[in-house]
Amino acid sequence: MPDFSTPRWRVFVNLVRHCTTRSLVSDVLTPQADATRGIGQVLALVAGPGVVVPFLLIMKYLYLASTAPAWIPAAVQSDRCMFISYALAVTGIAAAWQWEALGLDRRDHATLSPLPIPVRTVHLASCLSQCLCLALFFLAANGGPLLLFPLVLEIGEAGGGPAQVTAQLVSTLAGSAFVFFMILTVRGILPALLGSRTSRRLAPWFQAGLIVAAALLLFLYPQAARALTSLKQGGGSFPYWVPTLWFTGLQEWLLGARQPLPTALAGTAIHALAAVLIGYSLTLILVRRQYSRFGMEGETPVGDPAGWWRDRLRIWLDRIWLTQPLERASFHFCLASLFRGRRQKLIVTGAAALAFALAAVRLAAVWSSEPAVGADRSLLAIPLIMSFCLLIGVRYAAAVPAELPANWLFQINAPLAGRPLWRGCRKFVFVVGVLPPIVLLPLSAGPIGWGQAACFHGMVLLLGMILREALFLRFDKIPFTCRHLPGAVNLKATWPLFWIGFSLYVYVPVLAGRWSSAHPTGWVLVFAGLGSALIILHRVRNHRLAGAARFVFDQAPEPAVQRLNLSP
Amino acid sequence: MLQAVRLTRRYGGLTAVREITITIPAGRVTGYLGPNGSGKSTTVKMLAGLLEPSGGDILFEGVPLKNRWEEYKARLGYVPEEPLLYPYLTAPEYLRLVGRLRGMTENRLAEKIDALLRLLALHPHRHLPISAFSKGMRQKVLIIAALLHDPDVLIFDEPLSGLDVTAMLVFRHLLATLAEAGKAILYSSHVLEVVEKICSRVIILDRGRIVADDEVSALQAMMRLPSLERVFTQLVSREDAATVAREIVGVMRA
Repeated sequence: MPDFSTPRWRVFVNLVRHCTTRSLVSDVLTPQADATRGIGQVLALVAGPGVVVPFLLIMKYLYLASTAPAWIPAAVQSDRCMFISYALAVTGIAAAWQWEALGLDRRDHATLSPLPIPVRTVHLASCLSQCLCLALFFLAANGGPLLLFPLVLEIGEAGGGPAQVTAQLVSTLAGSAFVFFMILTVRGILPALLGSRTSRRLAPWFQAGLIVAAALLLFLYPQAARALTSLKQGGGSFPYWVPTLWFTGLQEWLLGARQPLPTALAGTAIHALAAVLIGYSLTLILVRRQYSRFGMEGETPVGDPAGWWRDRLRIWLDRIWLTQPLERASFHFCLASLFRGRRQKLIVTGAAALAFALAAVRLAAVWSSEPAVGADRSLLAIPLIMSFCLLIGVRYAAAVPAELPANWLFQINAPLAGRPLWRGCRKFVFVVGVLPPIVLLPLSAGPIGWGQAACFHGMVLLLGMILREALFLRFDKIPFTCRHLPGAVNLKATWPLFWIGFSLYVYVPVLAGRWSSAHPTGWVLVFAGLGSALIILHRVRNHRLAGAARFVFDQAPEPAVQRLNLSP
Repeated sequence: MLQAVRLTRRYGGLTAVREITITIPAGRVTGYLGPNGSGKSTTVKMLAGLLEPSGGDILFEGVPLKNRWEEYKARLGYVPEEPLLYPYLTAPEYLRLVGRLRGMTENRLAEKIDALLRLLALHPHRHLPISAFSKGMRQKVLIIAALLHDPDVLIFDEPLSGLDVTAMLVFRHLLATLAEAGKAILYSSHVLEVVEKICSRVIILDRGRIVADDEVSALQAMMRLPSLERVFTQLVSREDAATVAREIVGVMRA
């Protein structure tokens, strides 16, 4: 007889390791590539601000200690709120992003069911792996602030010490656990409420909504901190609706504040966490039922049979706008890949979510009537924010393959010269990345009138087309047919460039728009300048595609090549 | 019509295909056989333009393909070994994509797709995404995609895997009809009985080299063996199948 003497605990440990690895290795981050590099980059990106920001705060506290010591408590409260917002936002975004990977799926069922492991052990391992993921996200986002912020407070003579470390640890961990398990609860309930097919189809939209909510928690923390101060002075009930403030209140309560407001906020935080944990425990039953159904049901196809309206629209587009077969081929392929590909849809909806969150910050600035920022400038910046985020999202998603092994189709059938194919791709990027901000025309018309708003949106369209050409200038591929290499772009090094680009793209055109509306020939000059830049970029791109640089269609590497281990 | 001359493919230090010379004439079905890892799929991929040869030439109508790949590919139909398709597209969407990439006009394309989907019994499933298709249905989509533009050269790499008996019979007759119509067909497969029935000539590959290239009947006569299976076993097998089976059971029981 064979020897099956491996201890049960070792099997369990292996199972937990398997579940944790697959929870972290999202194919959104690392499709067909080195998983550890993608995860490593993301964790490094998350950990970076937590280490850098406390150092930046040293100067602030030294300055306040010497000039305005009375302002220190408000500053400390605002910074506590910031670190808790960061913890909640990072955990929320990470959990929403890893939505699919965090739980057991059909593949797990197919792999684990034939093995002699009880189902309850599989679920226990899955729960434990989820807790390990939470711990990892928590440590990445809060490891730096937990060690450094109390130190900064001590240097600035603003408190600190072991009490601050403990209170910060408990409050940020409680906040992270609240967000993490709330998202897992939503994830567990959805298939039971909507059915597995509908919930799978709607999942990217839920993910985008959760990313928006998490990003808003971070971006709106200054407003939340101010609201907390005003509440202490007898303001409205707004803070009771903001999770960041519950856990800020909890931290203050743990540090000894026993006034009614911190006590009430701490109570809300504890009740909310308890409610979420109960909800999560109940969804485990639903998750277990769903897991057992994987064996009975076939793979649920995620796809949408052509609707009448979509068919009409397609025919109309083909007749009017996409006149050549190759244009149609690339345009419809890209559109279907974006809207039916889970990874691609998630990336673009994530970018749209970021745009929405940044736009909400602008709107909050309008409502709070900050004297430094004019209302019209804030509103006019919103279409540009949307255009920038969408185009960056589309560009990133375009480098993620829809189905890499199926690319042989293009190699066999498509001509190598890319110009006619690229026309379809260009039109696709126009539809999904450049055109959408036009829906904000009524919003822009509010402060500057319809005529000026139309001119302004014309400028936004031209800028979008210029950004499209610039982003895709060296992209000699059909979108979604590339090999995805997460380590190829050094995000840690390039994010300042993105930030500078974003600032220029958003704020300079707003100033140009204001200037043009005040001068009779202003818009003519702006359109002439932007039109010339666009024509030049078009020509450069077309010249590139007509010349030596031809379209590349990536394929999955040959097994023999994969085995060579040429990399060090 | 299609020729490979001293075709070689190396992966680092490994030579998958070593200086093979083959001819695929028009109006005939040429069988291409070999055990796993013999270099069969590598050759097929080189002939389909998916893989660049490390050495040698591919000639189409007697002229090297070096600067004529686009012209050649326009006249090539290819069915790969694995049904690798975009799973989120429906069959008509996928076929429209193929037809458009080949520059076919919209009306002609729509008619052909509709007719071929009906003939291969896929029309009732035209609204389903390919992810919901069985392996056989995916294979049918690939076969339609290869035939859509009426190519002169057809390369089939294990085209029958997953097909039901009816579809297999249709496919066998289809190959004969296409050969009669003057198409050059390369048929790569592991299934010796089918190759024996379909192909007039077979090429047998082993460890990257050609070990036989002749009519099936001529090979049988030359080796004095009654079937293609026995010929194949004699040429490429290095182990006795029954002995290996006995050893497997021995390991299981250990």
